[in-house]
Amino acid sequence: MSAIQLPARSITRRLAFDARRVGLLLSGARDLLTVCGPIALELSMILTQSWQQGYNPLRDTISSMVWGQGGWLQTANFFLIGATLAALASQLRPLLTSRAARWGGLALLVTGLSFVVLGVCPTQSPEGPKTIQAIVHGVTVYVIVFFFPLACFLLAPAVRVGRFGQFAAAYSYATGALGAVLIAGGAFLMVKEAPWFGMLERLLLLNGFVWMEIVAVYFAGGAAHRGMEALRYES
Amino acid sequence: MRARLIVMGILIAVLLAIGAFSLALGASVPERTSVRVKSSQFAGQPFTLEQADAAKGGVITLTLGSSSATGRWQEIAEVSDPNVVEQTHNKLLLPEAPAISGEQQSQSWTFRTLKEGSTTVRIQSEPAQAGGQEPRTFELALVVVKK
Repeated sequence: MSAIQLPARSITRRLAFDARRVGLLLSGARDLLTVCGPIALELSMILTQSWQQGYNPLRDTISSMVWGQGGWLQTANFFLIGATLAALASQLRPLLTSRAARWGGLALLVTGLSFVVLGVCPTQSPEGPKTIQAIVHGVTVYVIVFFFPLACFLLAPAVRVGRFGQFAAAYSYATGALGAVLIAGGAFLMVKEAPWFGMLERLLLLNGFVWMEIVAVYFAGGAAHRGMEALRYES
Repeated sequence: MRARLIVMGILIAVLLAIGAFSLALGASVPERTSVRVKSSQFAGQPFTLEQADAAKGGVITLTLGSSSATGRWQEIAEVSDPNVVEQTHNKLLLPEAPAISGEQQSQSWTFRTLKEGSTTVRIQSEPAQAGGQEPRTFELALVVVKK
């Protein structure tokens, strides 16, 4: 009887070991996405705008690229931003110990999901009628501009970890504050009907991307490091 | 940790450089050109023509007054060369916020200029709402230049 039990236990342990290795591989892929995502997104947006005749990045919104040549790439960009933000929220999960930090993680996840909604519901097409999708798109933009700075403010205390934690926390506050200032600038442009929304959107995105990059690189490999230690101990 | 900070610094520098490049690629200061036409200009004449110059990469705002004589204007403008300008918005301006002084109601169209060239923008009034009168036609002859 014991001769049968021994291999069974061994197989179970082996499967658990392999499952952890797969988990490690996935967390590695996630960290790669959060570190490389922002740069890949900026490059992809350059590619999309270079295909579109008459596109002026200071005037035209990022969403409007969906209706131009190669617009599918911009739709893909929205999905990629959503996936990167969701991956970042997952990467920061071990740090979300306080209630405020958990709300911050949720706000980051909501921001990511909102970008997916932007991909599903495109903005109003030029010369086209006002559609429900366009209305959803417009409302979702407001959700993003509210939730992203909120996530930065709520996550700032949580990222105060390690030797340069003070810097990470201070930068999170600064990103949230700059985001709020840019949104106020957007409200001013809206009142004045000034054609500078493209520049404003790009600055808002770049502000977010830099924060994502800093946090992603600072915490990248954390799960992998812990997992490798555990596997080494077990083997 | 030091290596991680160096990598972080390099990636941030790359990100900022790409971001600045994306802002500069094809960028030009978006100038606004406004064309406003009072409804009295449409009185007694079915066809009205205006001319305007606009800058490439800019925005054109066309505002037409509407009265019982003109009726409501159609929301979508006909653009002879859509490679030169493209309509982006249309809105009805209510009497509380008239865009043209002295007008009861007006409508506004926004276009973005795409490349240098000439084109015409034609807008007609809704035939059913013009009080049985002949529909009015407004035409804007546009020349888009690089500034």
